[in-house]
Amino acid sequence: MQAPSEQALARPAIYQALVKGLAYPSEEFMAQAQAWQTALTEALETVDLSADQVAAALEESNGDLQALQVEHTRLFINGVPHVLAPPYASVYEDGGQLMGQSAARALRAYQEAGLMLSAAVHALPDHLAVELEFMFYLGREEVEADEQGDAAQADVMRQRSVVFLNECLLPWVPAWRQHVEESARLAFYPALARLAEAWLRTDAEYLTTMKV
Amino acid sequence: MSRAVLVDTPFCLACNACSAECKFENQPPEGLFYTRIDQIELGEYPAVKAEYIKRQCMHCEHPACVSACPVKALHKLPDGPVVYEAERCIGCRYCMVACPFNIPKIDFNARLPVITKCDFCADRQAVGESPVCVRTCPFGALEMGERDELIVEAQARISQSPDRYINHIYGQEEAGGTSWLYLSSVPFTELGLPELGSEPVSELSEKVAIYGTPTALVTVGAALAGVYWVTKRRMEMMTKPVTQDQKESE
Amino acid sequence: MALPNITLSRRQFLKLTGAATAAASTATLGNSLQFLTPVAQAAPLSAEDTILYGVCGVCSMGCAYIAHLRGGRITHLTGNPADQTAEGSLCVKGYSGVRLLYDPDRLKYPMKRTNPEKGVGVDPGWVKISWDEALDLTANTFKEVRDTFGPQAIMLVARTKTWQKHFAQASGTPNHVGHNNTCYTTHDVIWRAMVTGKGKTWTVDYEHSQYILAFGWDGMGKSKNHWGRAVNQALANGARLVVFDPRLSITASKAHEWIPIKPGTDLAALLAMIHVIIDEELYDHEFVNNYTTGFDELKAHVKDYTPEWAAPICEVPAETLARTAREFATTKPAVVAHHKRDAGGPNYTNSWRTAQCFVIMDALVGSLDRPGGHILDRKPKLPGLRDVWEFPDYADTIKGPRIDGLEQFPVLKPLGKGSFSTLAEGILSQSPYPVKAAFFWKHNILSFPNPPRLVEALKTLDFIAVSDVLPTEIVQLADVVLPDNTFYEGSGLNARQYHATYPQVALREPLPPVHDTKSFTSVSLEILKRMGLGEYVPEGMGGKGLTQAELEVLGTTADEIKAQGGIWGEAAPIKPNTEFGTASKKIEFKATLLEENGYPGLPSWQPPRAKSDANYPFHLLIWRRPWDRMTQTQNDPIVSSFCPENRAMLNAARAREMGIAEGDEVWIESLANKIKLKARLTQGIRPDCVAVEHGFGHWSTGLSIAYGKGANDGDLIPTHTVEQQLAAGDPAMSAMMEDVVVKVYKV
Repeated sequence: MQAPSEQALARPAIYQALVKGLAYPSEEFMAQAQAWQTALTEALETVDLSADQVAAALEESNGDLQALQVEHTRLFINGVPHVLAPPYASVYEDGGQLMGQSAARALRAYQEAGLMLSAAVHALPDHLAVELEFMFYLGREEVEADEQGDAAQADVMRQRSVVFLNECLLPWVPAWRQHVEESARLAFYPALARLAEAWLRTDAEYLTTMKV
Repeated sequence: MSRAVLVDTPFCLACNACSAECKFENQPPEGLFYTRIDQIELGEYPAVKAEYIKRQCMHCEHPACVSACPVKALHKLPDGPVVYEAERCIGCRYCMVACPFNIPKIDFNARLPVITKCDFCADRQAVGESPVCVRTCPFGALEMGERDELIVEAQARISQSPDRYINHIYGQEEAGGTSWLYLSSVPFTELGLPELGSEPVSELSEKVAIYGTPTALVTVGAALAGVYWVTKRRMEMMTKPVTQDQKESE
Repeated sequence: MALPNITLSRRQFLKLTGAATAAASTATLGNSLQFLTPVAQAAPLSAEDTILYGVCGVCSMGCAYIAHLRGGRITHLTGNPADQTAEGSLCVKGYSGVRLLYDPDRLKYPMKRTNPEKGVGVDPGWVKISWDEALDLTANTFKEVRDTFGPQAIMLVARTKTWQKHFAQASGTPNHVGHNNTCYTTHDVIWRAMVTGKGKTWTVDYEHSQYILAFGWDGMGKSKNHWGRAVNQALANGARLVVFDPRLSITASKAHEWIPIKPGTDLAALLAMIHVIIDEELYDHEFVNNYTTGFDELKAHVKDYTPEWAAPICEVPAETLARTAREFATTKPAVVAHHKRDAGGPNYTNSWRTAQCFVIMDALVGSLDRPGGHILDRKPKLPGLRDVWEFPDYADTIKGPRIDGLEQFPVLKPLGKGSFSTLAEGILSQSPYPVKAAFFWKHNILSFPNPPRLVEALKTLDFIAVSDVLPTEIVQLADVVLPDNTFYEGSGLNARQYHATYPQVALREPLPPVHDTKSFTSVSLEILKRMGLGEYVPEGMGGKGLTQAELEVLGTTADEIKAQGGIWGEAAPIKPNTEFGTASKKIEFKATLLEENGYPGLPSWQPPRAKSDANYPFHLLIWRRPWDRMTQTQNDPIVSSFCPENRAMLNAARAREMGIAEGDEVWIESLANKIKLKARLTQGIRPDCVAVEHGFGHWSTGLSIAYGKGANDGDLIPTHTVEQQLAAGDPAMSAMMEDVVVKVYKV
């Protein structure tokens, strides 16, 4: 039985934390923000990344939920001028429209992994949160496989992870991050976007070395 | 047998559906379109006419671009389309010079500038589909078929409506014949189509390649050498201390 | 969402096998998926190609389409070959609709504004809310307004269709305001009075015409799917096309003759032609004798309207008018082409009379409801709401006076439409009473005359709810945003209307919504319920229920229609009507319905309202590019590149006289406002006109591509009070959109 490494354990936690951080700000999130931040920080320590900027930005926001909601809406949903940092791969990769080839690619990856989009939540396949959740899922399954001694399955998950990361996330997240930085009025989302990008790059390196 | 398209310009209503849908489905590089509609005003108020003509690669029977290309990146398929392989392109632009219709364009967004153009939707045709523009046109301006049958059809239209068409099928003979054929109600030159003989332009471009290149190399080389000498002299002059006399004379 | 209590210790991190761990002070991230869910069994890869049948909603032509899907996304559209309207094709706007469907600027979730300040360029500070909150907020506010001020204090600004009418009437308000007096009320009123007893007809059999006469009609330039093809066919078959238009439109460029008539004087030209046709006895005696009344009165009426009289008014030679009239009458079949915003549309103070002349001309040559002419719609009789459900009568309050004054136009009122030209003035003057809340659907501020005036009016309202697809200008003023489905995401049946030579119905299969959107139908019914008007929403009432009833009446099922290619109906040749919908059952040259309501039954000459002079020397012309539809298509990244901004189009020689070169910035100024545009010089326009494309000047910053491009022609068009409309003596309440003179000068 091969115990999963610290990094292998931390990976899904970091992805899950990002998914939560990028969700539409809610009262529950604000209530548990401190805990979320701590969990993220601890998980990031294994890979030498810091959540300090994010923490500082959260502190700065002073618990003003509505301000964060306005910011989230204008950056990611509908904004002035125009939706400022649409979090969809298609927008950056497929000529500015939704549901381009990138969405089809992501959907195929989910289907191959035995998943489908939940009907209850209206999300497009190449939405950043969905793609990050997929990485969380694969990491989680990899850990479980490791703990159950199924090295082949763990390998499959790692393989899927590296392909998805390189094909469906890394190509466009830097451009998205740039849009967030250019348009944000509050510090939280730029900090989170920068962290997300840094994490994706780190994880890509890690996964590539793991393949060897 | 060669597939071709008959463009009946009196039918064109300049809606640009062909241009828009080609852009959407074939995704040429940013800022470029593989096909466009030119709108041309003729005459003076109130004796004015407006004409509309779809422009795209003519998919010549004897393509000048194919002859001119030094790396064989372009070639004519037996069933009509003139296609190209971007990976082979070295960006020399001979094809741009050779093409009498000014069709190949440089894709400046690519890491290495390569040419790009309409390829008659060769991939779609290979699986029995229509080119996007032909499928899209709502108003009957584009008809696809076998080239010789389309020529017969075009002749029939001219005979049936002599007041409607100039008695000529553009592309039947021009430049040795093209796969895209045109009917018009005004002289074709007024639509921006070049007046061409029936000699394939590729013969001209071969002459350019065979004789022109070495000539160009020699003459341009000589000229460049001359420029180099002059510049070198100037620079030597500049590094010398400037006397008062020289300053005044400059 | 609640985060389950799984703890993460420093050394053990997240134990994903679910084993309980020692509680620690850190972390609660959770183990569950939110967006993805495991499939019960291995789902087949949906990379296969499928199709969905539907009906395009970009314009009202309603061409039936086939959506081609791969992996659940539409890759492209084609027209349905079985549809008599589409005939296997769509138009550039229809094909572009896919880019609307997948526009990243689309409204995705319900939202509300957090910034109480409203205005042009003001950031609403939207936040996403749940559907429950959005519906409650809207319903509670409407209920409060209704209880405090009366039902008439709520206005619905929407197309006058089934579910929209139901909402307005159920809520008790008379104020269901459509856009129609900027669109086609002149034609509607005339066809009602002279021919049908209801509204205008839409089907025209151009493909069999041999002579097509047009006054300002540019159906080919607007890329109207069926008609462009049909006229092309007619031309190829030797038909003659003659176009009177101050501007060389695309239709005019295809014509055998383009006659640059003086704007607003088409009425004089037509009266002269009618005179010639009658005087020279060129009319269709059989048709006139059997199917019309009032001929003798008409003949006497046009006695003095000679071509010589008309020529100086229209600035068209008398011989041209006479010859055209003779050709029109003796080439069979002949038709006067018209649709909405041609010379007979609500563009001038005299347009309703021009529209009447159109029908007179067609009746004189016997092409009404005959091959080659305008065809009365053959539509299946489908059930209405009361055929399917029982609910109480609507309250009498719906018959009360309206904020747009429409009820004061008795020939127009029964057609159930609305007036955009008087709305702003009505609200601002609180006449006949104040309006406090509004519900907008599928209409934008930029479509109104003088939009800045409407913005002022809307700012006086307490509450605005908007159901829409893109964040247009009205959405920026909304208090609550209710994201609507695109037509791709809706379901039902659609009877063919714009080309319906026999009854035919198209199936609409919905694409699963891309975002968290809901149709106006379901939203409005829910709001009624939450307003406490649930008695108007009986069990099962909704779009699906109505569709089911319609299918039963047709005697078929959705699956059957799908199996037959998405279209129901059997082709049948046109059986010409011998009776019509008027009181006399004949086509009435002298419309008794008009006379009964205090209007003249026959069209007399009346000049347009606006006269050019030294101060305002130019006539304003409004036109559209083929790929643009009203104000909806400028956010399309591809077609907007063809013409990123609109221009001030001027006669080249005239412009040069004024020292204006191509691309120079100019002001166009009317009494209402001024707008700034770059000049475009052309040979194809009268020297006394300036033409501007409609649909630009978006100031909603929510539209990333359309924002800030060009200027809005509508700013130049004045609003009216109801009194001004009444004074114009026009039974159709025309908004007189082009009856405007302007000055043009360099910036």
